[in-house]
Amino acid sequence: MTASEIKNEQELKQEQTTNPRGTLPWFLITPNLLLIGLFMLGPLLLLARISLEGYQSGQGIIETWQLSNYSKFLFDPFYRQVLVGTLVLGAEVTALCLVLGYPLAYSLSRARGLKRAVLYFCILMPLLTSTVVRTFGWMILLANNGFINKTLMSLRLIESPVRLMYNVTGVIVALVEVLLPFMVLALDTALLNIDLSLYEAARNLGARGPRIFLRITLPLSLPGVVSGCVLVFTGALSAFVTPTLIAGARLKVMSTVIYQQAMALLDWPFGAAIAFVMLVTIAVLLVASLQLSERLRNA
Amino acid sequence: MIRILLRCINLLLLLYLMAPIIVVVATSFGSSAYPLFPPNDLTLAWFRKFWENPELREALRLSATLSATSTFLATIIGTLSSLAIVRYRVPGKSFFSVILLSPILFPAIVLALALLVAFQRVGLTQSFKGLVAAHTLLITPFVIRLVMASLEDFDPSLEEAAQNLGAGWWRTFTRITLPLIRPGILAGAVFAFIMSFDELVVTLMLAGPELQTLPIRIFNYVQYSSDPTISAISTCLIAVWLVIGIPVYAKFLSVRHS
Amino acid sequence: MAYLTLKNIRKTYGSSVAVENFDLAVEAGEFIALLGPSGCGKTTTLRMIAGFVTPTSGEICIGDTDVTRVPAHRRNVGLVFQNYALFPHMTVRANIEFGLKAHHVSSGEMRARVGFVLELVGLATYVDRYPRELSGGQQQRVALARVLALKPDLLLFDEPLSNLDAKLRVQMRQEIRRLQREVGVTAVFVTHDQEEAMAMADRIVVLERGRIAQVGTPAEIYDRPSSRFVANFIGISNFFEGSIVSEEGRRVFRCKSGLEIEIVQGMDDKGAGTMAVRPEKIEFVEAGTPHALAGTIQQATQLGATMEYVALLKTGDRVIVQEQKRPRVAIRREGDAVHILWQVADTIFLQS
Repeated sequence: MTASEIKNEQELKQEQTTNPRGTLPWFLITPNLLLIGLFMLGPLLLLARISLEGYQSGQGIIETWQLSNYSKFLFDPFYRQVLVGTLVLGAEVTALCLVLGYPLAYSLSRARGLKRAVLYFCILMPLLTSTVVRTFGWMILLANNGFINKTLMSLRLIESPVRLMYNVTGVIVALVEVLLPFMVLALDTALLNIDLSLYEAARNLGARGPRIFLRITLPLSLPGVVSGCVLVFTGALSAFVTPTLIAGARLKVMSTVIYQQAMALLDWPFGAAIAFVMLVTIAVLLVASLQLSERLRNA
Repeated sequence: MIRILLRCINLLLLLYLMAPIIVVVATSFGSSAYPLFPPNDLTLAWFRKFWENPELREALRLSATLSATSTFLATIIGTLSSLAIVRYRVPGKSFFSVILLSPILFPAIVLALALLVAFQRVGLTQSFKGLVAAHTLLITPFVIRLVMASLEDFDPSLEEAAQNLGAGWWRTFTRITLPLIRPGILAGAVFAFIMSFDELVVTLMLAGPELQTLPIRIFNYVQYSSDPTISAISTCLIAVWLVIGIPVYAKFLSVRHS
Repeated sequence: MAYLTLKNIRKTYGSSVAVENFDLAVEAGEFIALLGPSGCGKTTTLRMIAGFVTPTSGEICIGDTDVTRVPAHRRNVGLVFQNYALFPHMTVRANIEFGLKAHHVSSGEMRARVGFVLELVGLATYVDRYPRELSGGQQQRVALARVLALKPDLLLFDEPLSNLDAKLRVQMRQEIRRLQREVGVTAVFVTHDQEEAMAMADRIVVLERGRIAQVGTPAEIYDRPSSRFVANFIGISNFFEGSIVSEEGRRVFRCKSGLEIEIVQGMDDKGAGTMAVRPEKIEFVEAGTPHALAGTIQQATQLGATMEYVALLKTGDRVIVQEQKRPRVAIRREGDAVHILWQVADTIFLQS
């Protein structure tokens, strides 16, 4: 039998086993569609509209059409600094997660059976713990009289406590830990996808460890690198809890500014505009990463 | 040689990942008035303090109720959607599954503001109903993901065999389909519950002074006071997640690999 | 009056035709095989009888009831699946009771039937085991017991033996046939294995690309295939293209290759066509035997109990000859000169 005959038979079998009654899918899927439509798409559209409105303290939201919220955020030097600062923070966190996550992912992808299950769970477990709890743990560790400083001082590596709280450094340390599992899991998936027989072929041709890693493992894991970076960068960009708790008012990132505008200053239009700048940034990143993945796949 | 180096690095990294959790759990047993790591004397006083604090108990009750309600709705909605996506030839299948899973893609702060703005128009801000709606939206994708995984392993000829033996669709669904996808549904529900219970940003912006969930109380507490009571609460939460999470996840994984 | 009738069944999926012009009448108690290559429509037809696929046009009747639009769970037909489809979360007993409960059979009767069918398939002691604890053959027997417990009007089999190893397959097909005879239920069996169909069926329906190529008993199908497809699908055949001509008082099949095969008697066909003859019907004869064709052995293959030779004739035709190994007859080797001959009665002429 030819390949097309086999495919035909399989397709026929597929057709035959699914969809006994054509109308069923719709009532199954409608509640979810309603949920998404009413509580996500609708509000987002409303938010978009509001981002184009004005605000006057004392008067509230002014119904109009204007781009001044966007231009304020993108061009006012203070807010430009917030935007740039958030992006830079995102880039730094992503780079660190990549460097630290790769060895862990590499070992995870090579582990089997119980060892892998345990390792996987250890990496997954922090994700089950809430961000607030984890960040609280970092607050304790990073304090001037916290464990890190005390240890460094008792080892006489430093003379006075290093300032790790209420600045970017502390935020980075905590944020990298919070987002590391995402990078590790993304890399692990990609590494597992590499055909094992490629390693055997390489060894058969005389290549050894480092060469195999540089020429085979690393290049073929790039799709995972891309998706991991996208996940981490997005997470860093939208981080709220960690910057708020570790740095407080000393560090302004987009999330905290949005929160402040929304809850304290009540300038919803401006907050909405910032929110959409964040969305657009993430969307652009996603599209770029998809194109990159496509190019990698075709290479 | 490299292998040993790799092992050391990984150990350090795992320690790094576990560090905050270890610290929190440890400080909850410490006797000093502020969270001290490592703790000197050990005591259970903070747990008692947590339990005796009416505000915190109320927050716990509220969070539990909110998450239970949202999980219940999310599980039903998500399971139905998974059945539709996996089993039936829905036109534009992949389009639908992307749409239904999309809440995960949006930053919480953005969704929070959007919901705040929308809820204000319909008077749903600072209401339990509003919070349930928001939480259900946020956690349904987790249910869908996990139930879909279970369904994809499910052999459709089992349902045909059931029908051939005389079972109508209700009997087939309840006696054959449901029992076999139960691990996926359970894993999805547990995961969704955890996500809802720990949810902060959206809840923070939508709840009012009357609806302070446990994460909100912790968030505020942590900023304004330094009391190991928070450590105690956190330790309890971690313990519960481990006790529920491990068995459910293990069962789910084992069923998938068989 | 036939027990199962399919009248002018046609099934299309969009623009592709899966089955068409399908007419079949099955007598009560008969064992029918639907045979054909992948994609020929045999499984589609079976699933139409079971009720999982609705025919685009045509009728299906069981007894004198038109069941074409009756939903699957209301037809009293039992389907045995290729992958057994036993419910993994239920014991053997629960698997069998499932259908009985759906038919609201009383618990006393249920117990009796479970015991009866398990006794029938020889698995009485496995009643409380789970499917994962059973071998493939045992699972297949439980699948059979499960449908037999419901006393179905029809038994349908969807390539049930494909997942079993060769020896077990032979064993199981004898089992199935024996049980079918004992219970007396009408059966339709889908397979792509012609040996299986030949061994089990009272009549075989050969399908080609959604249409019936031939219906007949195994002997009829084998000895008198009605088309090149059937002749080629069932067993092996030697094919010669050419035409029958009459000249100078003799009748001859003149092949395109130039080979002339003398027709001694009978075979009143005329004109162009294909002559087919099975390898085992060809004999090696002594040189000088009238009408024998001369050639040399090009290939000699051991098939166990038989030898398969490829004889190359002077005209370039390759003829496959199969011969049972016999005690005092020597095996021929490559290069040996041979003469071959076969009977008119064993020749099949397929008109173009």
